[in-house]
Amino acid sequence: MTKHPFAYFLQKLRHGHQTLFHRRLRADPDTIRKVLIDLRHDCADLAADLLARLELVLAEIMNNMAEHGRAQADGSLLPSYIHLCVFDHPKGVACILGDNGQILPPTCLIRSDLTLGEPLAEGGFGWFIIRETTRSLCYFRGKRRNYLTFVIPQTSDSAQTPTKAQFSADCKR
Amino acid sequence: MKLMVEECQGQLRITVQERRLDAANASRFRDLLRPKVNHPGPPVMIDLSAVDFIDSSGLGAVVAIKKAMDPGRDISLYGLSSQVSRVFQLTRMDRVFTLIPAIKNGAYGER
Repeated sequence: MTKHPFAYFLQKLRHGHQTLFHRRLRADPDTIRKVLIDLRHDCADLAADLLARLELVLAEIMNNMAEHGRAQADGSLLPSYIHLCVFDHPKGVACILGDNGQILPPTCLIRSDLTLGEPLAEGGFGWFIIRETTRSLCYFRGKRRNYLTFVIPQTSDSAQTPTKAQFSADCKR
Repeated sequence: MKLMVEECQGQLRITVQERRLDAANASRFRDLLRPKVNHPGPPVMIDLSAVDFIDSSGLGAVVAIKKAMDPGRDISLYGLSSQVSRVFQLTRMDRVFTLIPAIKNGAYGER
């Protein structure tokens, strides 16, 4: 692959469909919030339910990226930078996100059910929401960057039978 | 973080005066409210009418508040928008919390 991986996936996935939203941002909760508010404004033409599911999934993914920034030699973390593109897709909207944070554990993409045991868990909902709300969820790692691609279906009913997520440790596809 | 906490009609009513309950403010929300509920007292009702977005961080904060409560106290959530309800239903937390939909005349807990 000679192209930058983000450009490669964008070209491969977009197939000439219209770009709806495009940002490069620092991965911190305040910046992510501002970008999601911009998303609501810029994508206001989308169906309200589709836009709501898109906003939720992007919040979960980007805040996860913010929690797993660039690891330094002393064990501290520097914020990563996120590249986000949302574009029109025949089945809803498609997204690609890249960041330069830590590698994503493959277990994040494995479908599993939630258990409501005692004591109640205060976390662990984020990846469950992502898996349940997206279709065609794929992860790639390349050039020390993470890439996630997925589709948010037009209706929430069509997310009830999600496709199996894919994990690839490199981009040579 | 804008909150209003008042005892009213036999409830501790917590009104969240924020549009979003997300990773940017969930910790603050949790830390402000835990000391208000971690002792015996009347049932707690959290009014989320003003909230139009919640993510898993916000949800986790609400769960943390429930867990901090004295075991004998009840908690209910009022005025959930469809976007907020979606997160509780998706994560099955609608089985854990009493969810009261918003009603137009502004009365609490009545249909």
